[in-house]
Amino acid sequence: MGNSIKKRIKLKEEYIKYLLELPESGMGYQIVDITLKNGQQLKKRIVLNSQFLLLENSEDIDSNFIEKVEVEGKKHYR
Amino acid sequence: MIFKAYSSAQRQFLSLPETGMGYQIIEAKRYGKIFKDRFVVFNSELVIDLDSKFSDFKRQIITEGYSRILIKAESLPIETSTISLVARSQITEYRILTETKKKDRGRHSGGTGSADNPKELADGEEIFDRLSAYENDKRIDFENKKLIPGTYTTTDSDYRACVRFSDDPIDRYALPNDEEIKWVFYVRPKTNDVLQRGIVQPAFGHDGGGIEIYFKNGTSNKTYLERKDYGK
Repeated sequence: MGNSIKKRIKLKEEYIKYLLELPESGMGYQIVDITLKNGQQLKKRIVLNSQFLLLENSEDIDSNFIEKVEVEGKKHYR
Repeated sequence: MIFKAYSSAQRQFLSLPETGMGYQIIEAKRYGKIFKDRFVVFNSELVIDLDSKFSDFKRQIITEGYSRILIKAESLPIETSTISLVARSQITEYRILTETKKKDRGRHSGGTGSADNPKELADGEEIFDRLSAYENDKRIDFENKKLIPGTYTTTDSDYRACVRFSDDPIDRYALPNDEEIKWVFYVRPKTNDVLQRGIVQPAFGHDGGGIEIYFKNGTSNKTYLERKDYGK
């Protein structure tokens, strides 16, 4: 079976702290909506251990390019 | 294995009715084999072994993407003339077998997730385990030795069942990624700590069926006991 582990990036410390104040969606992960600085939205993405955002292998996103993280209606602006 | 169908097989699949929306369950003989194998066919083109690691292959398709899998899949050498639809009665039988296997691994069926269930107080004795791929799991407050609010665990007994049956924790707890679970963090909440019990619902292509415990408010100081290697 092929390796199905997705690419991941580490979120900036401020987002990690923010996510640690919010509940998990299941053991070890949270489901978030991400807005990038160019306005692009990444919906229902997985963050592991409140710090690693999973990306599709085809995506290439710098953590500094993240403008906003949202969990269940809560928002956190950079 | 995951295969793509030869065009002759695709034409045969298209001539048969669907088993469910977007898929067919068929049986066919591979070249050189005496007996038929069973397969799940998606969109008349992607073919997966039904009776061997089906859950793993299903997960692979979900995580890697249908198109990518289809491009790299090998063609399935089956005798087109032997293709037939599997009767629904046999599929039901298969589901019963699957459920039995689930129970054999100490998993649970149905129920609801923990967040939907009533709150209860810990008894001060029961131990709960948090499984993690991360040695520095962020939901553990190592300084105050406690779980932070909004953290999930499982029961110690369910974790032990997972290990005893050599079950896959990724599937049992319906985790979204295939990172290896390496660590277990043990917690014994105090009698004033509130928790909610439930059954892990299917998600991310996984069956779930493990026990999940939700600590909305986290646990009291000095309730985190220790960290051990998974399975030890």
